[in-house]
Amino acid sequence: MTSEKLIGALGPGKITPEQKEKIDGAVETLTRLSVPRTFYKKLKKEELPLRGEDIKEFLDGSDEVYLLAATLGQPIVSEIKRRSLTDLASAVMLDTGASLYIEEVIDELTRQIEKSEPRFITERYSPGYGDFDLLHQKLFEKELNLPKKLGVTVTESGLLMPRKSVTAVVGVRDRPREPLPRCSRCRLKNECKFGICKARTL
Amino acid sequence: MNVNLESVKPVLFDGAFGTMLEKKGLDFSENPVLLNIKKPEVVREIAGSYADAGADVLTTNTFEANRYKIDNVEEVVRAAIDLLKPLGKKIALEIGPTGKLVAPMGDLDFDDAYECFSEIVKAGEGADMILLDTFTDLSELRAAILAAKDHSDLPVIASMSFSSDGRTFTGVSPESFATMAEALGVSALGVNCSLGPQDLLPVVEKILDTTSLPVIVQPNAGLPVIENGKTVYPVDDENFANYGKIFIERGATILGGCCGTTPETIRALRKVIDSSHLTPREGKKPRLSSYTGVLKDTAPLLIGERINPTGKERMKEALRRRSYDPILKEAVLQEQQGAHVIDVNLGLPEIDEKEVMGEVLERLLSVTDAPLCFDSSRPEVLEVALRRYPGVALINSVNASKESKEAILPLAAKYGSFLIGLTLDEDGIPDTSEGRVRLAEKIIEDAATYGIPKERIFIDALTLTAASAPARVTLDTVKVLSDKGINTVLGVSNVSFGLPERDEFNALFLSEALSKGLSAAIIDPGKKPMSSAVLAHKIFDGDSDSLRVYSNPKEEAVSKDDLKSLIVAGFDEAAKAKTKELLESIPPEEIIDTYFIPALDKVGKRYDKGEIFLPGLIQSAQAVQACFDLLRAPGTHSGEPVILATVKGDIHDIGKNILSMMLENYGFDVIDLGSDVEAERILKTAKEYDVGLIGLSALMTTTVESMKETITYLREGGYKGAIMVGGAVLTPDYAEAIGADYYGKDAKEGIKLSQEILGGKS
Repeated sequence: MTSEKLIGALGPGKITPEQKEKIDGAVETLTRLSVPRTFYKKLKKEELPLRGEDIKEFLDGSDEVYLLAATLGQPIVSEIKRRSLTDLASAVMLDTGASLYIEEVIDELTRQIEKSEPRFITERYSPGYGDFDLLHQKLFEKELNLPKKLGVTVTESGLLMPRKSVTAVVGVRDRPREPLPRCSRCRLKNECKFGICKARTL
Repeated sequence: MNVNLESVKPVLFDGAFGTMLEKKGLDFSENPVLLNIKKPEVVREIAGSYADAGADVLTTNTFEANRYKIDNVEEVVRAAIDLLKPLGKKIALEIGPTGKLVAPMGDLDFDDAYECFSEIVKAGEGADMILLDTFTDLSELRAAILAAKDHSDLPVIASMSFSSDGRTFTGVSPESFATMAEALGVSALGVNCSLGPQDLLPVVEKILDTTSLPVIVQPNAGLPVIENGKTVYPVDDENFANYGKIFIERGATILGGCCGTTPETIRALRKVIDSSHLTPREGKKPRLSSYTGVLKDTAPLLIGERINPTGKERMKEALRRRSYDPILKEAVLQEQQGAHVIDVNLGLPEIDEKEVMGEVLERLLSVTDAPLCFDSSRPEVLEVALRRYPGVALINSVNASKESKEAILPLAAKYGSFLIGLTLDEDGIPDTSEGRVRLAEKIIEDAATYGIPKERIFIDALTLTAASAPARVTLDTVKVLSDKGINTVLGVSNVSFGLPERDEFNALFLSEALSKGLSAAIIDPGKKPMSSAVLAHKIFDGDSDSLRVYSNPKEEAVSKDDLKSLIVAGFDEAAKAKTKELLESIPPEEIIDTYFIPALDKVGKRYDKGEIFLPGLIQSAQAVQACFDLLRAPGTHSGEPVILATVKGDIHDIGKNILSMMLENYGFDVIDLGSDVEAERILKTAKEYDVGLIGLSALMTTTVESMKETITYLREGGYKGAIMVGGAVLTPDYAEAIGADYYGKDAKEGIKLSQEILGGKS
């Protein structure tokens, strides 16, 4: 995580030297309080009850899949909550920074898998993308034993706790594949300014 | 128990169950606890092999035998115990975590967790002891310990799992765990699973340094690695047993194994145990603790007094509306200002104090690491808080009257709490220090009959108004008690009641009390004269850290810039100073109209154009918010009321918080109900305050469903006002489809809409 990356994510506009200092502080806090943890498992695709047209299409041609999970841990999430009471501006910096950071963590995990996997792998796909229902988090919880492995649990409404945790599916294929238009069924396909869901870890 | 946890020989538990199942190549896809019924011979064989290997205690195969994982809890638990009976060893009923986190970290209700564990404990009455293991959430462990203690007389062993950073996944430290578990009266405590013996050693040492109780250690056989698709544990039996010897030498007395260990591991440990003796350990002082940490020796102990509605309109309003952020903010700020303990007093006649205490406590847990002091005249309110608080709290207070002692001392005994003891009784407050000392000794004596040692008691020598009673009696009482080695505390600010320059007067009194040996003070840590008095006291005692702090005061912000540009730049301290200055010549309304609103509008426009980034916009809003506090009497709102809430099932609230602050700056009376809010509560509040606009936020696709349900509920319940929605997953079309009247894409638009809907700038 770098200050430059965080500034980029917080939107356009000039920042003052004081704000730059605050951003540097946020990045320092972020790296100090985060305890990144990851876990993954490889399974046969047919072992997994995955619902939704998008995920079917996404995994077309894959016979095996990796289930991935990553978290930054509880302390940074608590700190964001604290700051939102006393200094909302710095809470927003930390919150955005944590979203970027967890993406970095799971990106790195994906790269590791790509290295060790003899065949080709797809991009990542997460519950909540397109019509791949968020309640699939329950499946990740069970298959990856998230409470025990990462200290992550899933709420009744399918949210990962602590926040700033992500899960994803990666397919294994014999040949690389054309990237899919994975937003085709998304309700936000016209409004979304990110284009790719992975920029939207909330 | 014959296998005495406090015997002269170490006690040996068994090893892993799952590992043995795997080794047997048994393919059982269901929850392994069901083996107790479906394949009892397998369970008995594994247990038998551990018995043969020399284990003193066998653990039941009931790790996940709870109502969230299986339907037939009682049947499974009974079967698991009956299976082990013929083996002739002591039986530990194993209870693992539910796999859910207790609120506020997760969505499991504390009482539901308690019920879940109670069911297992009741079913397991044939066991010899209860082993709570592999816990990572201190709240969940607390529910389990209370369930075990409330429903059985068996010894309880509590064991948590720590990660390589030395804490559990949820941030519990070895010290906070050991302190809380000991206070709740477990018989032994320690660690299991997650790490190998080498990595657990520093954690175990911290636990040994914290508790006087027997310590149990059941490591994994190292961190698992995957080799050829199989899970392999790297620590061999001999190595594992060598660590067992080290654990015993350091002071642990109960050993066993977790994942990756086998009967051979236990056999190796048996040899080590048979050739070793217990290492004597020292008794430890009881301490106050929180979820994450334990309070070290601090003199004086500073108890922040600001969470108390008496005379504070804003706080009263927060309590009445159950919109608790102002209270939480005081906790965070006081901790930053140096309070070691946060006093929580929510006494307001018109609220349900018990219910509100539960709600506030749960929220406080997610924002403060300081131990809490529960302050109520009602024992049932104290009990709600003490039962739920995952730490060792301070009770404010007990007094020397029979009624008070009979109500409060049992609570302090059950929950291992600390106590503030007031030197008054049925006859009132003694006029002399001798009289107060006598009552203090009476409280300490009676507390001892409940097993509460005097180290857990702070005697309040009672500060009376200096203008009406000589404060010398109070100071003399402090001196006498402190010479006797008794902890003392004073609520300091009462001394200056009715006098001018109260802060200075209070600080002088505090200095004098500290010089008499006062151990704790209930103060407002944000008052500079108070913190100076404490610092000076420490400097007199030669504390170089305090000298450094005192020598480098934070600079007061001063500025010659005009208020508008200070707000635009987001300098809140300087803007506050400037506002103070302006207030001497300009009425508040004019300051708002001439400076605040134009500055906010300017910042908003620049944000829209992409000239400043989001935190810049928020900083300006914060600067205005800080200045507002100087203008209006706290808690008075003239603007139109607006309710904001993140809907049930969703916990994301930063966007909503931004809108909340900005709406307040534009003069609206914002009732912020927080996140994960039930529709019922929104409707009730809307009716109570005759609200014309409700803003709902949802950030996940699943919770937009909940937003739709909330809107339907509000409409069916007769709410006639407008509903505005926002959140990343919404679109104008979708907002309309779920029945919302307005859609605001961001906070800026939310303000514009609110102004249009409710008229004017409110």
